[in-house]
Amino acid sequence: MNYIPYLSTIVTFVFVVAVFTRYRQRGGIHLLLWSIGLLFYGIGTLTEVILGLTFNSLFVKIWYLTGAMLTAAWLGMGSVHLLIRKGNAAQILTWVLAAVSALAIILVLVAPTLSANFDVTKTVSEQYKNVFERSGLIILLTILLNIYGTLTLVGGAIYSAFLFWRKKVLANRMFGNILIAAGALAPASGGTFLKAGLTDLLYLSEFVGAILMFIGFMLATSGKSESAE
Amino acid sequence: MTKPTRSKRFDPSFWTEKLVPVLLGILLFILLAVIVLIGMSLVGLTPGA
Repeated sequence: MNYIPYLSTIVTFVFVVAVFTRYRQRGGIHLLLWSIGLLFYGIGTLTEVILGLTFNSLFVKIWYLTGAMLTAAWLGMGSVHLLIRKGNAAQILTWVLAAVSALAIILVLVAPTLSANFDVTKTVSEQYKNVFERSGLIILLTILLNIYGTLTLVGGAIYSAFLFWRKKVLANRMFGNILIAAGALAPASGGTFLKAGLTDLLYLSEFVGAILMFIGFMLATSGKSESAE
Repeated sequence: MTKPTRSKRFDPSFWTEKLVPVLLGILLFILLAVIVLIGMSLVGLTPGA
């Protein structure tokens, strides 16, 4: 039995509560979008826990939707809202993402189930391709959503950290953003290894990613910072 | 209208001054590598695509 998804799920749901609590206290659409992205992250790792105990093709589809398609994009959308404050580009992109996400959910849920042969002792990332048929559009959306999410989340955190470093302000946010960038890159790299047919490090990378991003978030929001987030 | 705010400045240590940009460069490099690999899987150049 693989215990890493249990730990990832606990860390991620605590993280969701921390981010959503901050949203309730301070507002900010980016915090709400990060909460949604982290909720997808947590649902993804929770389905890994469930699929380590019993098999259900619906859970494999939910795992694929949340873990492989939606998490990075919704987290990245939060960063877009944080960085693009002028105009309504961020709002338009959010509606586009919502529409694409709805399409992804429909496509994955109606995708034909291929086989009920599932070994609970193996990771879901090794077997999901045997469980349901991914159409070309599903694969295309998966890749585009991941590129968008990784670029905006990691790129946004690197850019923010660079600005804090250059201006020599808010050291906690500078280091926090470095940890967020490193944490977001961990599952992105794990997923990329998987796409590239290399070693399956996904579960470990998800756990490391959740821990690093959580520490980064706590660090970035610690202390009495006077500037906008 | 909101009151103009000031952010807390910090005096970077030698390591902060030199290591942070290196670290950011490494992260940027990994980000680009990940994007390239995802792009390669888009055009079917990776076995797991």
